[in-house]
Amino acid sequence: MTRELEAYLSGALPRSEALVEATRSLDRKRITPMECEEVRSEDVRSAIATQRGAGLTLLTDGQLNWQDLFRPLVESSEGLEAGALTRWFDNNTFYRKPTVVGDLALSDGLPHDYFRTRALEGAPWKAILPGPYTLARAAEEESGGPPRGERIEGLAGVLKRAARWCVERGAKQVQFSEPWLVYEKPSEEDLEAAARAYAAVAKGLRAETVLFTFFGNLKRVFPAVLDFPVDAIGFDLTATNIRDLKDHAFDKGAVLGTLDGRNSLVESPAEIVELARHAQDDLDPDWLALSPTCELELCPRSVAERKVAALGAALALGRESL
Amino acid sequence: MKKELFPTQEIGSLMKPAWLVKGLRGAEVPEGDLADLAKWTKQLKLTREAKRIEELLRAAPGPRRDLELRDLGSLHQVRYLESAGLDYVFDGEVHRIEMYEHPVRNSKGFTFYGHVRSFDNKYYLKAAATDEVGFLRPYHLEEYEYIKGIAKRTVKVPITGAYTLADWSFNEYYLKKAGRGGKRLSPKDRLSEARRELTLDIAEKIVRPNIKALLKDGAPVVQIDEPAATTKPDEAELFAESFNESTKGLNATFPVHICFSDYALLYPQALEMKRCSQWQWEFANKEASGDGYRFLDLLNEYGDRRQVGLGVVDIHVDKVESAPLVRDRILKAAEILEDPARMLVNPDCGLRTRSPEVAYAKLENMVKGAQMAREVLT
Repeated sequence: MTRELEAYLSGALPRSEALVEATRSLDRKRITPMECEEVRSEDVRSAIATQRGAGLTLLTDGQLNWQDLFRPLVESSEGLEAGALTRWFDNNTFYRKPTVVGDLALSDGLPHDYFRTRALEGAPWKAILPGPYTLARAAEEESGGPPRGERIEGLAGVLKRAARWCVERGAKQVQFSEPWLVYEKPSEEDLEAAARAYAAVAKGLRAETVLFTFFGNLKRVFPAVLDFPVDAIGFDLTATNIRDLKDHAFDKGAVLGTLDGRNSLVESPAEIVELARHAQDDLDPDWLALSPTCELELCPRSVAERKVAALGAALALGRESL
Repeated sequence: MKKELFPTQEIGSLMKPAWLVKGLRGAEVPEGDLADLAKWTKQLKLTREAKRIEELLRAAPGPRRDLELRDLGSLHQVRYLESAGLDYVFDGEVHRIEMYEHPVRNSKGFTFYGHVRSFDNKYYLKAAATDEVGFLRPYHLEEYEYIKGIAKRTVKVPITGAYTLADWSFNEYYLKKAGRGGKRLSPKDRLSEARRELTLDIAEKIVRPNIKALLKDGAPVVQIDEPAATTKPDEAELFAESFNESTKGLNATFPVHICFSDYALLYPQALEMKRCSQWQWEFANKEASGDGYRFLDLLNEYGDRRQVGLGVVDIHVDKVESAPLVRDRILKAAEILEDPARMLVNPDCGLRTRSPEVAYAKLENMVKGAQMAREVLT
């Protein structure tokens, strides 16, 4: 492995207590949208500074105004609406179901509000988008609709435009978040449809692509997922045992979800590096990166900041010792 | 109470009256809220108390004033439920912050770090088990003491179950512990062991002593609320085990309330919950699409002969179900269960998100619908 160890976030950061208060006040009409935006901008600066201070190799803007993983796309695409509140997998957190209401199209790109590219200027940054399979599953209605394969294909078109939009604005990496792919075992047919969607979305994209899974065991789609046309696969080590992946040539990068985004106990750099060593020895991937298991947004901000610091410390330690 | 078919019950929290919320915050209570206070207290025959409430609202906040105001709010909500005609009442959880923070703040071993987002711009405070969890005080006793002194109907006390308290908390102490003892566990296995230890400790050391204190004080019914029961699809066994640990050695049986869930995930492990006397599940919100009561087939399929607290009004919509619709829902369920004597009638869940007017209209029609169903069958 010649490429150096890397480390970055894999999802949204939690909002600061000041932004929590500001958004609540905004909802209660006690402050103006402009006043709330001032607090948010400060929070974006602070989120970027925290990552930079920890020495992370790619930064994000913290996604501090994303109401859920799907909302930026929903709000900027024709044919999609934010629907019923739905549980975010097995968490006590909810998202609004993306609801297909017409022909899908992403006409004007993504709102700058959702990708604070100006705040990230000069820094190497990564974009995080929902994966096509997860977006299609989230958009499903109990009462039916088009076959899943067709829906995945339709939404992949929107995602492709969104990913290109990010790359045109400087994103070095595009992460496709795919919890649905591992939460339940997909059928062969679904897996083939997902692979086709990645061929449409990720192929030809002038940035590194990561298919990042979480909240489930990567074993459910392994080794089939190694054939997806992406540069790296990410997985959640609170749900996946490395030993279950070792019998196949991992001929891609591996993004290791080593810091539990759903628990407040902050991992020690030594234990994170130990997991990385284990992955290096057992999987021998093309390259390795460390990340939280999922969005750190499921923890309060003070905890997330300590986790980002631990991630940075693990990166430094790992670069010395791996 | 005369033993008859389809007793009616409340199921959880009600929207707190605006005058109470603002009064406790020390904020000015606007005319509109005072008009609501006057309207409801007249209907609930609490005009004397209304005068005292107005006095308290004008007084400066302080522990004694706040406690009296909260107690009067509790009386208001108890009379509200009684006036709607329910057989089993509580006070809409006026005394509690909410169902998670209240028990956790009043138990040992937890630390709050800050807010976690629930959805959009809504947040909640989430605690971490940073030490061995334990009993601090019987956190529902004081409110029960008050309510039993005023209620004219049977009191049913809700308490948050161990599985939900554990599922909604971070877990530090038990995760550190799971890593000790020479066992080499993967992060996945370590997390699973720690989760089990925390859940069972909350059951034994927090929930059980609290239930025990309520029973000792004469609480006729303690309802265990477990909204998180089916959140993790492969943990039905841990859920059942935590219920058994929470009720171990107690000479009583308990209704268990779970809502907005796939109840099939509970079986067959739920059959081991021997002290669970009644399932209170939500049905009405699914019934709009025509198959709300399909979960009752589960009980037949598994030979589960427990009572059913049948959700007959949807708590998520303002549209008030008519009494004949409630009647039809009850009769439909009675036919599936083949034994109307096993049934009680309730809203799907707490009516906290509905206005007092809408919630009252729903409860009134629920009571009328139950009476109409009784008339059909007797």
